[in-house]
Amino acid sequence: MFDAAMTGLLDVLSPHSMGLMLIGILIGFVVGVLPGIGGPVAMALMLPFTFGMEPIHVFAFLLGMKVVTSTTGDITAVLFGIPGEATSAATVLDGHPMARKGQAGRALGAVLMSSLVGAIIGAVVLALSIPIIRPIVLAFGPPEFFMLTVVGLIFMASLSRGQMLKGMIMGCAGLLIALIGIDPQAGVPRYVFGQLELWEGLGLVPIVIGLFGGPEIVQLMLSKESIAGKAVSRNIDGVWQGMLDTFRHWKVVAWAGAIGSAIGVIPGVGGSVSQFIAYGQAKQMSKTPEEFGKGSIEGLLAAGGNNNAKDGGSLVPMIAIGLPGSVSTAILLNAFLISGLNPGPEMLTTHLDVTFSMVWIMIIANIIVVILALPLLKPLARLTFTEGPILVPFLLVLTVLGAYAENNSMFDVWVMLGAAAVGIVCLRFNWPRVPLLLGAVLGDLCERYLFLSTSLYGWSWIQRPLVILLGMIIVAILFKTVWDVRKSIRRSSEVRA
Amino acid sequence: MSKFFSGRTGVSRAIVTAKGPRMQKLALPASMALVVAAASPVYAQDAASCEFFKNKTVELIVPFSPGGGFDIYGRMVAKHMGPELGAANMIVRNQPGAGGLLGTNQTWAAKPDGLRIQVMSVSGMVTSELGGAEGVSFKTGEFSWIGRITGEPDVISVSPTGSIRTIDDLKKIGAERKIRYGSSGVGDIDYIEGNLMSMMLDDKVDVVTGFSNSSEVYSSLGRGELDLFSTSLSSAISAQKAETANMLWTFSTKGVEGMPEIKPLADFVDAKFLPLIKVQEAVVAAGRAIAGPPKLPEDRLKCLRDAYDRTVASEAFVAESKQLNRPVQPLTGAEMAAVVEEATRAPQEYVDVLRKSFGK
Amino acid sequence: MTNAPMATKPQKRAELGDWIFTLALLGVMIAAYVMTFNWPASTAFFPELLSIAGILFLLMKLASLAWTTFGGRAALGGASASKAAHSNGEVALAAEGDEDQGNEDEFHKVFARADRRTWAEVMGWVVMFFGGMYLVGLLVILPVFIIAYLRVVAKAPWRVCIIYVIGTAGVMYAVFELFLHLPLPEGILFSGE
Repeated sequence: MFDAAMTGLLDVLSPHSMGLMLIGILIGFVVGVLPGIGGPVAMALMLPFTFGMEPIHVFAFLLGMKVVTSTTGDITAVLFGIPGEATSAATVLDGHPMARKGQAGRALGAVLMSSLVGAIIGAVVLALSIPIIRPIVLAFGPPEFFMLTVVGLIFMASLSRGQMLKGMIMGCAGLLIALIGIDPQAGVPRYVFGQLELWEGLGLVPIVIGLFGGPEIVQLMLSKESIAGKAVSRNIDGVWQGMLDTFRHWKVVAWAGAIGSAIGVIPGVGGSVSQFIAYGQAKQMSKTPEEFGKGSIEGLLAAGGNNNAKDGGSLVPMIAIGLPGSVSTAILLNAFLISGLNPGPEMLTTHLDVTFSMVWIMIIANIIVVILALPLLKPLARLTFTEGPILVPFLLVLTVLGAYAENNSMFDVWVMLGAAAVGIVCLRFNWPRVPLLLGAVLGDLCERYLFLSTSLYGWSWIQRPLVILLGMIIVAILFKTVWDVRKSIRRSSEVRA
Repeated sequence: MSKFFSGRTGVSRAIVTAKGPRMQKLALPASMALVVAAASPVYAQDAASCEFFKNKTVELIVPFSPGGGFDIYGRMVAKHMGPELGAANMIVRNQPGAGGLLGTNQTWAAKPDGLRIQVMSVSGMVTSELGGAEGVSFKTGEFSWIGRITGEPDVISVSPTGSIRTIDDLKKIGAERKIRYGSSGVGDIDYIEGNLMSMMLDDKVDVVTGFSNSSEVYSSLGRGELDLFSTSLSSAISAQKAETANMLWTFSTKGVEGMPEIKPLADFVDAKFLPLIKVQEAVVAAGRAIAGPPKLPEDRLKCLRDAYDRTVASEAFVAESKQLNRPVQPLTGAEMAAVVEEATRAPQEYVDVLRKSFGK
Repeated sequence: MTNAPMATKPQKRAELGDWIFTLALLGVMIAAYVMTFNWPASTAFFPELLSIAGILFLLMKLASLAWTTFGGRAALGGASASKAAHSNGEVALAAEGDEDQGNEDEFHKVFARADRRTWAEVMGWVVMFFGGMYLVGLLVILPVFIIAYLRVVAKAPWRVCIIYVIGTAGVMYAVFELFLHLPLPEGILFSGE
């Protein structure tokens, strides 16, 4: 195994692989700025360019691109409040408030460094899990997936900014939105109003871009101020401080990385759930949970640490049994097949070096991204001090392209516009947006896996050991949440009295 | 709301026969390609009459997302067919939605000028049309067929960890409980095959839906949660290599060349079901093909057909399909039209199964 | 917890907004529930469950709103606020949530403070951009919008406008149309073959 690891490293370090990785990273940098075009779309578009390459070169190119698009997604999330993907929306929650406080430099430094640490944790988990990879992946079936979506959903309350009832209402609305489309059991169209465009459901990318980007743009148009217009401090030099924050709060980052890579491994639901769990967990552990959502460095580090770690985890089921856990891994799977590799035991024996090369690519590409991005952070942070109206047309284009590019569909642009309207109304009247997104991300997964569990196991799935374990975790989190709420009620009524 | 969990609903209905993005090397393509190659020099001469396409951009519509199996075929064909046609450009345009219906409906209604052609998921189109599925506004037989790319047989696999190795094992399980047949979506080809199996096994089959794609079904099969699942041969080969499937039967009357361990299903079922297997075999053979809107002008259709035939016969194309592990089994436009014609002339019994599959 | 300085007028407006939002959502949820009637049981199960849960939560919200608007007003003085907050189910946390919630609250303030005229202006620009895109396509409306917006609102010099147009529309044209052959949003007026 050690031999394979070394062979993998040498293959990655060959000039050809490194050259392709750099090209991939550069392309990813340019297109990754467009939210939504981020990872999957860029990879899909570049896939034809890999036709005929050696497997390791293909992965150096595509994985390098994937890594950098996660990072550029984080950058737009911090600067403009527009996440690159639905699975990394948590970065916005604290990263953007920091930028608005004039701490864009620090936020960017923190998110960059924590992503790197998270990526390394993810890569290490991938490497360590190789001997036991198949049994692990096969241990999780629909019942466990379902329970995991429930774990994600119960963070709805803690992500409701202290307005639990409003949060539950928005959560229900989000879950209902997720059910739009052909239902998976009987094939009956639900809430589609005769529109073929709705058969596969509303796209998450346009929803995320609209929900977060829309209010940002309108806010800039209304106030005509810069993003950090109200900021007292104008510290764009905080990049190093942000990087140091990663190590100062190393526990937060380590937890987030561990959660991201462990949950990211679970095929099916891992990628969608892990950001909410990592963020919720950091909030529960924090000494200052009330800061979360207002620009908490811990919240940002949790989101950043989780983000690239889960990408490492999501490779595991794809390598082990050929089950892609996300759109980008599905494209990687295609890359596997057209380069003549087969996921499965082969990857753990004869092609073990290729598997290890993927681990190395994850690590090396992340380091390169940090080195390349570092000199850019300061000028980027300066954007938050640019006059608002100057940014408006640019941000409008970003949102339109991001919504449009996934399916080349005008319909998605209108969905984005609708989501923007919802986002603005939510903020205007103090209704939380995040539970809506959480519901929209998890709704159909929750339904599909519940029905699958019962059609495969009857009701006996409840007795599966992992299900019971997850059930206990759910009860514990609920208990803790209720306890926290009671405590804060008592505290605030004392203040009032 | 998420195909692969970040985009959209996994339920791909009706036309989705793209059984996951898995493809593997096949023994079939070479001989087919040779036949076409022998005939192609004749076409080369009429290229001159295809002036129309000169300096034009031809759009090849792929009704699915980029990065998937259909997309790769589309790009492979576009790359080589553009120059053969003499067009300035042949570009792939992805137009996903409603399991491929969105793009197909639009091609159906498009201006038949030869500048918009599409990679069609023909088996799915035939079944959804015959089954009276919602949202279908086309008649598969009336498209202007340019040529087939692939038409692999469908293969039924069992769980590698389970006890099923023969039809008798299957019947034994059927006597105790329902046999669980995985499907990647209501109305998909695998769903229809599940229903056909159920007919042949005295209604002892339960078709399990709710999976978002065929990879997910195969992983469930690998865990031993399911008993049976069927996909195209190349997908099944990949799954077998990943040890999540064990191929046993083809949904056809003949076996697979070079793989004697896969037996034709027709050998085991009651003779009265043979017509059903035959028509399903024909439907599956319609595979993936390229067509333009109905009533394409004769001369332009001929240009496109000739260019396609030359493309699939060209060494560069054949080499690339091998290199990318994308098997091709080309047919000419005329042959393809005949295949579609045969598939749409299905017996009433089959149509009834389809209608049931679409909840009619 | 800076309840006192908040003037009563915005407070009232916020309440009105809550009323409208809650009632609108209630309408949507009821419609969502009614639409499940014709579906098979398995199809209808989740939507039914969620719409009923949503309706229940919304009714609770309505009750709490009614309490703060009509009931809570009766008792005057500082005590009323905390009492109302306690009774409306969101408890005192609601007060925390309404004020000083960092980022979201800043947005809230910007949206709440803008007068009708400013809103109308902004909506005008938005309609111009998206309407224009619908009619003539992204690549046509973009330069027009950029120049108009930058000249009128940002008062930017022509030089900046031109660089801006080249940097956005120009780059998009080069990358999407020429290099990647990807479609961009086309207007219905020009999309004819």
